[in-house]
Amino acid sequence: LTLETELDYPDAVSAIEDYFERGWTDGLPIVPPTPELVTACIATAGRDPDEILVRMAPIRRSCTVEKAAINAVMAGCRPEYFPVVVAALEAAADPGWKHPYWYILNASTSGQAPFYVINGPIRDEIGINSGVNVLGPGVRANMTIGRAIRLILLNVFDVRPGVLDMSVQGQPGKLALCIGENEEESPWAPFHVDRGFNVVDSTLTYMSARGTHPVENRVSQDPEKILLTFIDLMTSLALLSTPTTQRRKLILMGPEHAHLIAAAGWSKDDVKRFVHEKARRPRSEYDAITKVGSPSAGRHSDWDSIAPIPDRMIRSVDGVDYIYEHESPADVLVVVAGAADGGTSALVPLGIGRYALYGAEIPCAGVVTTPIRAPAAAPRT
Amino acid sequence: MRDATEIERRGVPAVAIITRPFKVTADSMAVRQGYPRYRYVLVDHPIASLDDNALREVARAALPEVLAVLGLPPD
Repeated sequence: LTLETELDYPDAVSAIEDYFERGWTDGLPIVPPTPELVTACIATAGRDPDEILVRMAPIRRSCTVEKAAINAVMAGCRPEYFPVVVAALEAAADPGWKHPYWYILNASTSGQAPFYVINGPIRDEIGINSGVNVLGPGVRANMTIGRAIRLILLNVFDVRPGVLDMSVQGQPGKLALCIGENEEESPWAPFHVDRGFNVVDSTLTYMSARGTHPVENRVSQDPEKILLTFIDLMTSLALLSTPTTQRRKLILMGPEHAHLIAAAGWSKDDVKRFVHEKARRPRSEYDAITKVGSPSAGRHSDWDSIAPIPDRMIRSVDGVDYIYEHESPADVLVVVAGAADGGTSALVPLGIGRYALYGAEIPCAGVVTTPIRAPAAAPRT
Repeated sequence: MRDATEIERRGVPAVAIITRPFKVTADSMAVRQGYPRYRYVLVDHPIASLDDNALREVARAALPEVLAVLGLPPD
Protein backbone atom coordinates (compact mmCIF):
# COMPACT_ATOMS: atom_id res chain seq x y z
CA LEU A 1 0.00 0.00 0.00
CA THR A 2 1.48 3.36 -1.05
CA LEU A 3 0.16 6.78 -1.94
CA GLU A 4 -0.04 5.50 -5.54
CA THR A 5 -2.40 2.67 -4.59
CA GLU A 6 -5.90 3.45 -5.77
CA LEU A 7 -8.63 1.82 -3.77
CA ASP A 8 -12.10 3.25 -4.33
CA TYR A 9 -14.89 2.67 -1.86
CA PRO A 10 -18.44 4.01 -1.86
CA ASP A 11 -18.09 5.02 1.79
CA ALA A 12 -15.79 4.80 4.81
CA VAL A 13 -17.54 1.76 6.28
CA SER A 14 -16.89 -0.24 3.10
CA ALA A 15 -13.23 0.72 3.29
CA ILE A 16 -13.03 -0.31 6.94
CA GLU A 17 -14.61 -3.69 6.17
CA ASP A 18 -12.30 -4.25 3.18
CA TYR A 19 -9.22 -3.51 5.31
CA PHE A 20 -10.42 -6.16 7.76
CA GLU A 21 -10.84 -8.62 4.86
CA ARG A 22 -7.32 -7.93 3.61
CA GLY A 23 -5.82 -8.46 7.06
CA TRP A 24 -4.52 -4.90 7.29
CA THR A 25 -5.72 -4.21 10.83
CA ASP A 26 -4.91 -5.16 14.42
CA GLY A 27 -8.47 -6.40 14.93
CA LEU A 28 -9.96 -2.94 15.40
CA PRO A 29 -11.43 -0.75 12.66
CA ILE A 30 -9.00 1.60 10.94
CA VAL A 31 -9.38 5.13 9.61
CA PRO A 32 -9.24 4.92 5.80
CA PRO A 33 -5.88 6.48 4.82
CA THR A 34 -6.92 9.05 2.25
CA PRO A 35 -4.10 10.78 0.34
CA GLU A 36 -5.03 14.09 1.99
CA LEU A 37 -4.63 12.73 5.52
CA VAL A 38 -1.41 10.89 4.69
CA THR A 39 0.07 13.93 2.99
CA ALA A 40 -0.85 16.09 5.99
CA CYS A 41 1.06 13.72 8.29
CA ILE A 42 4.15 13.77 6.10
CA ALA A 43 4.01 17.58 5.89
CA THR A 44 3.76 17.86 9.65
CA ALA A 45 6.93 15.85 10.10
CA GLY A 46 8.61 17.85 7.34
CA ARG A 47 10.24 14.72 5.94
CA ASP A 48 10.86 13.19 2.53
CA PRO A 49 8.20 10.49 2.00
CA ASP A 50 10.79 8.05 0.60
CA GLU A 51 13.21 8.45 3.49
CA ILE A 52 13.82 5.16 5.28
CA LEU A 53 13.26 5.56 9.01
CA VAL A 54 14.18 2.07 10.23
CA ARG A 55 15.19 -1.30 8.85
CA MET A 56 14.45 -4.70 10.30
CA ALA A 57 17.61 -6.38 9.11
CA PRO A 58 16.84 -10.05 9.91
CA ILE A 59 13.77 -10.00 7.67
CA ARG A 60 15.13 -7.54 5.11
CA ARG A 61 12.36 -4.99 5.40
CA SER A 62 12.34 -1.26 6.03
CA CYS A 63 9.81 1.47 6.76
CA THR A 64 9.68 4.76 4.88
CA VAL A 65 8.12 8.00 6.07
CA GLU A 66 5.23 7.44 3.66
CA LYS A 67 4.43 3.94 4.90
CA ALA A 68 4.67 5.12 8.49
CA ALA A 69 2.25 7.96 7.71
CA ILE A 70 -0.28 5.63 6.05
CA ASN A 71 -0.34 3.44 9.13
CA ALA A 72 -0.44 6.43 11.48
CA VAL A 73 -3.58 7.66 9.73
CA MET A 74 -5.06 4.16 9.87
CA ALA A 75 -4.33 4.09 13.62
CA GLY A 76 -6.30 7.32 14.08
CA CYS A 77 -3.41 9.73 14.53
CA ARG A 78 -3.90 13.42 13.91
CA PRO A 79 -1.16 14.91 11.69
CA GLU A 80 0.46 16.66 14.66
CA TYR A 81 1.05 13.29 16.34
CA PHE A 82 3.12 12.06 13.41
CA PRO A 83 6.48 13.54 14.53
CA VAL A 84 6.17 11.32 17.62
CA VAL A 85 5.62 8.24 15.43
CA VAL A 86 8.69 9.25 13.41
CA ALA A 87 10.71 9.60 16.63
CA ALA A 88 9.55 6.15 17.75
CA LEU A 89 10.88 4.60 14.53
CA GLU A 90 14.10 6.60 14.69
CA ALA A 91 14.61 5.32 18.23
CA ALA A 92 14.38 1.74 16.93
CA ALA A 93 17.01 2.63 14.32
CA ASP A 94 19.37 4.05 16.96
CA PRO A 95 22.74 2.27 16.90
CA GLY A 96 22.44 1.72 20.65
CA TRP A 97 19.37 -0.34 20.10
CA LYS A 98 20.97 -2.60 17.51
CA HIS A 99 18.72 -3.47 14.60
CA PRO A 100 18.26 -7.20 15.20
CA TYR A 101 16.63 -6.48 18.54
CA TRP A 102 13.93 -4.39 16.89
CA TYR A 103 12.97 -7.64 15.23
CA ILE A 104 13.81 -10.08 18.02
CA LEU A 105 11.85 -8.30 20.76
CA ASN A 106 8.79 -7.95 18.56
CA ALA A 107 8.96 -11.57 17.40
CA SER A 108 9.82 -13.06 20.79
CA THR A 109 7.84 -15.80 22.52
CA SER A 110 7.99 -13.51 25.58
CA GLY A 111 5.35 -11.24 24.02
CA GLN A 112 7.06 -7.92 24.64
CA ALA A 113 5.49 -4.61 23.70
CA PRO A 114 7.16 -1.42 22.50
CA PHE A 115 6.81 1.06 25.36
CA TYR A 116 7.17 4.80 24.81
CA VAL A 117 7.64 7.51 27.42
CA ILE A 118 7.16 11.06 26.16
CA ASN A 119 8.71 14.06 27.91
CA GLY A 120 8.70 17.80 27.39
CA PRO A 121 6.37 20.40 25.90
CA ILE A 122 5.06 18.10 23.13
CA ARG A 123 2.86 16.43 25.75
CA ASP A 124 0.78 19.57 26.15
CA GLU A 125 1.04 20.58 22.50
CA ILE A 126 -0.64 17.41 21.24
CA GLY A 127 -2.46 16.26 24.39
CA ILE A 128 -0.53 13.21 25.60
CA ASN A 129 -1.87 11.89 28.89
CA SER A 130 0.55 11.55 31.76
CA GLY A 131 -1.99 11.60 34.58
CA VAL A 132 -5.09 9.71 35.59
CA ASN A 133 -5.44 6.23 34.00
CA VAL A 134 -2.12 6.77 32.23
CA LEU A 135 -1.73 3.11 31.23
CA GLY A 136 -5.38 2.77 30.31
CA PRO A 137 -7.45 3.81 27.31
CA GLY A 138 -9.28 7.08 26.77
CA VAL A 139 -6.82 9.55 25.27
CA ARG A 140 -6.45 9.72 21.52
CA ALA A 141 -2.76 10.70 21.31
CA ASN A 142 -1.57 7.94 23.65
CA MET A 143 -3.66 5.24 22.03
CA THR A 144 -3.17 6.13 18.38
CA ILE A 145 0.58 6.81 18.52
CA GLY A 146 1.09 3.44 20.21
CA ARG A 147 -1.29 1.78 17.77
CA ALA A 148 0.50 3.33 14.78
CA ILE A 149 3.65 1.42 15.73
CA ARG A 150 1.66 -1.81 16.06
CA LEU A 151 0.11 -1.34 12.61
CA ILE A 152 3.57 -0.61 11.18
CA LEU A 153 4.89 -3.83 12.74
CA LEU A 154 1.97 -5.75 11.23
CA ASN A 155 1.59 -4.09 7.84
CA VAL A 156 5.06 -2.82 6.95
CA PHE A 157 7.26 -5.40 8.63
CA ASP A 158 4.74 -8.24 8.41
CA VAL A 159 5.52 -9.29 12.00
CA ARG A 160 2.22 -11.13 12.32
CA PRO A 161 1.14 -13.43 15.14
CA GLY A 162 1.73 -17.07 14.27
CA VAL A 163 4.16 -16.24 11.47
CA LEU A 164 7.00 -13.98 12.64
CA ASP A 165 5.48 -12.88 15.96
CA MET A 166 5.57 -16.03 18.07
CA SER A 167 4.39 -14.55 21.40
CA VAL A 168 3.12 -17.37 23.58
CA GLN A 169 0.40 -15.10 24.98
CA GLY A 170 1.27 -11.54 24.05
CA GLN A 171 -0.12 -8.80 26.29
CA PRO A 172 -2.77 -6.08 26.05
CA GLY A 173 0.04 -3.52 25.86
CA LYS A 174 0.87 -4.73 22.38
CA LEU A 175 -2.04 -2.65 21.13
CA ALA A 176 -0.60 0.62 22.40
CA LEU A 177 1.78 1.59 25.23
CA CYS A 178 2.62 5.26 24.95
CA ILE A 179 2.55 7.55 27.99
CA GLY A 180 3.72 10.96 29.09
CA GLU A 181 5.75 11.48 32.24
CA ASN A 182 3.81 13.48 34.83
CA GLU A 183 6.60 16.04 35.12
CA GLU A 184 4.26 18.56 36.74
CA GLU A 185 3.49 16.27 39.69
CA SER A 186 6.93 14.75 40.00
CA PRO A 187 9.12 15.89 42.91
CA TRP A 188 12.23 15.15 40.83
CA ALA A 189 13.82 16.29 37.57
CA PRO A 190 12.10 14.86 34.49
CA PHE A 191 13.21 11.52 33.03
CA HIS A 192 14.61 13.06 29.83
CA VAL A 193 16.90 15.24 31.96
CA ASP A 194 18.27 12.01 33.49
CA ARG A 195 18.82 10.92 29.89
CA GLY A 196 20.91 13.98 29.06
CA PHE A 197 18.34 16.31 27.51
CA ASN A 198 17.18 19.77 28.56
CA VAL A 199 13.91 20.23 30.35
CA VAL A 200 12.52 22.24 27.41
CA ASP A 201 13.29 19.48 24.89
CA SER A 202 10.59 17.11 23.73
CA THR A 203 11.76 13.51 23.69
CA LEU A 204 10.59 9.96 23.23
CA THR A 205 12.19 7.09 25.10
CA TYR A 206 11.78 3.66 23.56
CA MET A 207 11.90 0.55 25.71
CA SER A 208 10.54 -2.97 25.36
CA ALA A 209 8.05 -3.89 28.10
CA ARG A 210 7.64 -7.47 29.24
CA GLY A 211 4.49 -6.33 31.03
CA THR A 212 3.07 -3.75 33.41
CA HIS A 213 2.70 -5.09 36.95
CA PRO A 214 0.81 -3.19 39.67
CA VAL A 215 2.73 -2.34 42.85
CA GLU A 216 0.44 -1.35 45.66
CA ASN A 217 1.44 0.04 49.03
CA ARG A 218 -1.12 2.32 50.71
CA VAL A 219 -0.03 1.36 54.20
CA SER A 220 3.27 3.16 54.67
CA GLN A 221 4.90 6.54 54.15
CA ASP A 222 8.40 5.20 54.70
CA PRO A 223 10.57 5.23 51.54
CA GLU A 224 12.26 1.95 52.41
CA LYS A 225 8.96 0.17 53.04
CA ILE A 226 7.46 1.49 49.83
CA LEU A 227 10.51 0.48 47.83
CA LEU A 228 10.67 -2.97 49.44
CA THR A 229 7.25 -3.55 47.89
CA PHE A 230 8.76 -2.98 44.43
CA ILE A 231 11.79 -5.10 45.28
CA ASP A 232 9.65 -8.04 46.37
CA LEU A 233 8.06 -8.11 42.94
CA MET A 234 11.36 -7.57 41.11
CA THR A 235 12.94 -10.53 42.81
CA SER A 236 10.04 -12.93 42.29
CA LEU A 237 11.11 -16.09 40.49
CA ALA A 238 8.67 -15.33 37.70
CA LEU A 239 10.56 -12.17 36.79
CA LEU A 240 13.96 -13.68 37.43
CA SER A 241 13.36 -16.22 34.69
CA THR A 242 15.76 -14.43 32.36
CA PRO A 243 18.22 -13.27 34.95
CA THR A 244 21.09 -12.00 32.87
CA THR A 245 19.65 -10.71 29.67
CA GLN A 246 16.58 -8.82 30.77
CA ARG A 247 17.35 -7.30 34.12
CA ARG A 248 16.50 -3.66 33.60
CA LYS A 249 13.43 -2.38 35.38
CA LEU A 250 11.37 0.69 34.92
CA ILE A 251 9.70 1.91 38.09
CA LEU A 252 6.62 3.73 36.88
CA MET A 253 6.01 5.57 40.10
CA GLY A 254 2.66 7.06 40.97
CA PRO A 255 2.95 10.68 42.17
CA GLU A 256 1.82 9.76 45.70
CA HIS A 257 4.64 7.25 46.18
CA ALA A 258 7.09 9.68 44.56
CA HIS A 259 6.10 12.51 46.91
CA LEU A 260 6.29 10.36 50.04
CA ILE A 261 9.76 9.17 49.08
CA ALA A 262 10.98 12.65 48.10
CA ALA A 263 9.48 14.20 51.23
CA ALA A 264 11.79 12.01 53.29
CA GLY A 265 14.71 13.58 51.47
CA TRP A 266 15.37 10.84 48.92
CA SER A 267 16.61 11.71 45.44
CA LYS A 268 15.97 9.53 42.39
CA ASP A 269 19.56 8.28 42.69
CA ASP A 270 18.90 7.29 46.30
CA VAL A 271 15.97 5.22 45.07
CA LYS A 272 18.10 3.52 42.41
CA ARG A 273 20.94 2.78 44.85
CA PHE A 274 18.58 1.32 47.46
CA VAL A 275 16.84 -0.88 44.91
CA HIS A 276 20.14 -2.07 43.46
CA GLU A 277 21.46 -2.93 46.91
CA LYS A 278 18.36 -4.75 48.15
CA ALA A 279 17.09 -6.52 45.03
CA ARG A 280 18.85 -9.86 45.33
CA ARG A 281 17.93 -13.47 45.87
CA PRO A 282 19.91 -16.49 47.10
CA ARG A 283 21.21 -18.51 44.19
CA SER A 284 19.81 -21.68 45.76
CA GLU A 285 16.32 -20.32 45.23
CA TYR A 286 16.95 -19.94 41.52
CA ASP A 287 18.35 -23.43 41.37
CA ALA A 288 15.26 -24.79 43.08
CA ILE A 289 13.18 -24.11 39.98
CA THR A 290 15.72 -25.36 37.41
CA LYS A 291 17.00 -28.77 36.38
CA VAL A 292 19.84 -28.54 38.89
CA GLY A 293 19.71 -31.72 40.97
CA SER A 294 18.14 -33.94 38.33
CA PRO A 295 20.36 -36.96 37.63
CA SER A 296 21.28 -35.94 34.10
CA ALA A 297 20.89 -32.21 34.48
CA GLY A 298 24.12 -31.65 32.59
CA ARG A 299 25.36 -28.31 31.47
CA HIS A 300 21.94 -27.12 30.39
CA SER A 301 20.76 -27.28 33.95
CA ASP A 302 20.51 -23.66 34.96
CA TRP A 303 20.30 -20.10 33.74
CA ASP A 304 24.05 -20.05 33.22
CA SER A 305 23.62 -22.27 30.18
CA ILE A 306 21.31 -19.77 28.52
CA ALA A 307 23.33 -16.70 29.39
CA PRO A 308 26.25 -16.95 31.78
CA ILE A 309 25.72 -14.95 34.94
CA PRO A 310 28.71 -12.62 35.27
CA ASP A 311 30.66 -12.81 38.50
CA ARG A 312 29.95 -9.14 39.07
CA MET A 313 26.29 -10.01 39.62
CA ILE A 314 26.96 -12.66 42.24
CA ARG A 315 28.04 -11.74 45.74
CA SER A 316 28.54 -13.93 48.76
CA VAL A 317 27.16 -12.56 52.01
CA ASP A 318 27.56 -14.59 55.23
CA GLY A 319 28.21 -17.73 53.22
CA VAL A 320 25.15 -17.33 51.00
CA ASP A 321 25.60 -16.71 47.26
CA TYR A 322 23.23 -13.99 46.13
CA ILE A 323 22.38 -13.15 42.57
CA TYR A 324 21.81 -9.44 42.27
CA GLU A 325 18.87 -8.37 40.21
CA HIS A 326 20.67 -5.44 38.62
CA GLU A 327 24.24 -4.89 37.49
CA SER A 328 24.25 -1.33 38.79
CA PRO A 329 21.84 1.37 39.99
CA ALA A 330 21.68 2.50 36.34
CA ASP A 331 19.65 -0.63 35.55
CA VAL A 332 16.81 0.90 37.56
CA LEU A 333 14.87 3.63 35.76
CA VAL A 334 12.34 5.90 37.44
CA VAL A 335 9.49 7.67 35.64
CA VAL A 336 6.63 9.41 37.46
CA ALA A 337 3.22 8.87 35.89
CA GLY A 338 -0.43 8.65 36.84
CA ALA A 339 -2.67 10.59 39.20
CA ALA A 340 -1.81 11.61 42.76
CA ASP A 341 -4.82 9.85 44.21
CA GLY A 342 -3.52 6.59 45.63
CA GLY A 343 -0.48 4.68 46.80
CA THR A 344 -0.04 2.59 43.72
CA SER A 345 2.60 2.39 41.04
CA ALA A 346 3.70 -0.07 38.37
CA LEU A 347 6.77 -2.13 37.64
CA VAL A 348 7.72 -2.51 34.01
CA PRO A 349 10.36 -5.21 33.53
CA LEU A 350 12.28 -4.33 30.38
CA GLY A 351 13.53 -6.51 27.60
CA ILE A 352 17.22 -6.67 26.77
CA GLY A 353 20.06 -4.73 28.28
CA ARG A 354 22.69 -7.17 27.28
CA TYR A 355 22.39 -10.39 25.40
CA ALA A 356 24.53 -13.49 25.39
CA LEU A 357 24.66 -15.59 22.25
CA TYR A 358 27.02 -18.51 21.71
CA GLY A 359 29.03 -17.37 24.69
CA ALA A 360 29.52 -13.81 23.43
CA GLU A 361 28.04 -10.85 25.24
CA ILE A 362 26.31 -8.41 22.91
CA PRO A 363 25.39 -5.14 24.55
CA CYS A 364 22.14 -3.54 23.55
CA ALA A 365 20.98 -0.27 25.05
CA GLY A 366 17.42 -1.46 25.55
CA VAL A 367 16.55 2.14 26.39
CA VAL A 368 16.92 4.83 23.75
CA THR A 369 15.89 8.47 24.10
CA THR A 370 15.48 10.47 20.93
CA PRO A 371 14.38 14.06 20.30
CA ILE A 372 10.95 14.74 18.85
CA ARG A 373 11.09 17.43 16.20
CA ALA A 374 8.40 20.04 16.76
CA PRO A 375 5.44 19.53 14.45
CA ALA A 376 5.46 21.86 11.47
CA ALA A 377 2.33 23.98 11.18
CA ALA A 378 -0.20 21.79 9.44
CA PRO A 379 -3.81 22.32 8.50
CA ARG A 380 -6.14 21.04 11.22
CA THR A 381 -8.24 18.32 9.68
CA MET B 1 16.80 -20.39 9.99
CA ARG B 2 18.47 -17.09 9.34
CA ASP B 3 21.74 -18.38 10.79
CA ALA B 4 21.62 -21.43 8.48
CA THR B 5 20.87 -19.43 5.35
CA GLU B 6 23.56 -16.89 6.21
CA ILE B 7 26.10 -19.68 6.67
CA GLU B 8 25.04 -21.29 3.37
CA ARG B 9 25.43 -17.92 1.68
CA ARG B 10 29.07 -18.01 2.78
CA GLY B 11 29.45 -21.37 1.04
CA VAL B 12 29.33 -23.58 4.12
CA PRO B 13 26.69 -26.35 4.23
CA ALA B 14 24.31 -25.92 7.16
CA VAL B 15 21.23 -27.61 8.55
CA ALA B 16 18.57 -25.65 10.38
CA ILE B 17 16.86 -27.63 13.15
CA ILE B 18 13.50 -26.15 14.08
CA THR B 19 10.97 -27.23 16.69
CA ARG B 20 7.52 -27.93 15.29
CA PRO B 21 5.64 -24.86 16.60
CA PHE B 22 8.06 -22.68 14.62
CA LYS B 23 7.45 -24.33 11.21
CA VAL B 24 5.47 -21.40 9.81
CA THR B 25 8.06 -18.95 11.14
CA ALA B 26 10.88 -21.00 9.63
CA ASP B 27 9.16 -21.16 6.23
CA SER B 28 8.51 -17.43 6.31
CA MET B 29 12.07 -16.63 7.31
CA ALA B 30 13.45 -18.89 4.54
CA VAL B 31 11.41 -16.93 2.00
CA ARG B 32 12.71 -13.62 3.45
CA GLN B 33 16.27 -14.85 3.11
CA GLY B 34 15.74 -15.80 -0.54
CA TYR B 35 15.61 -19.59 -0.08
CA PRO B 36 11.90 -20.38 -0.46
CA ARG B 37 12.39 -24.17 -0.71
CA TYR B 38 15.15 -24.42 1.89
CA ARG B 39 15.16 -27.90 3.39
CA TYR B 40 15.46 -28.18 7.16
CA VAL B 41 14.76 -30.61 9.99
CA LEU B 42 11.78 -30.46 12.35
CA VAL B 43 12.02 -31.81 15.90
CA ASP B 44 9.63 -31.97 18.83
CA HIS B 45 9.09 -29.07 21.19
CA PRO B 46 10.26 -28.10 23.82
CA ILE B 47 14.05 -28.09 23.94
CA ALA B 48 14.99 -25.56 26.60
CA SER B 49 13.62 -27.49 29.57
CA LEU B 50 15.02 -30.93 28.61
CA ASP B 51 17.85 -32.48 30.58
CA ASP B 52 20.95 -33.71 28.77
CA ASN B 53 19.76 -37.31 28.28
CA ALA B 54 16.45 -36.25 26.80
CA LEU B 55 18.20 -33.73 24.58
CA ARG B 56 20.59 -36.41 23.29
CA GLU B 57 17.56 -38.53 22.35
CA VAL B 58 16.15 -35.67 20.29
CA ALA B 59 19.51 -35.26 18.54
CA ARG B 60 19.82 -39.00 17.89
CA ALA B 61 16.36 -39.18 16.40
CA ALA B 62 17.02 -36.18 14.15
CA LEU B 63 20.42 -37.39 12.91
CA PRO B 64 19.30 -39.45 9.86
CA GLU B 65 17.34 -36.53 8.53
CA VAL B 66 20.17 -34.09 9.22
CA LEU B 67 22.50 -36.31 7.19
CA ALA B 68 19.91 -36.59 4.43
CA VAL B 69 19.64 -32.80 4.19
CA LEU B 70 23.39 -32.65 3.80
CA GLY B 71 23.20 -35.36 1.10
CA LEU B 72 25.15 -37.84 3.18
CA PRO B 73 24.38 -41.56 3.67
CA PRO B 74 22.48 -42.39 6.90
CA ASP B 75 25.54 -43.94 8.58
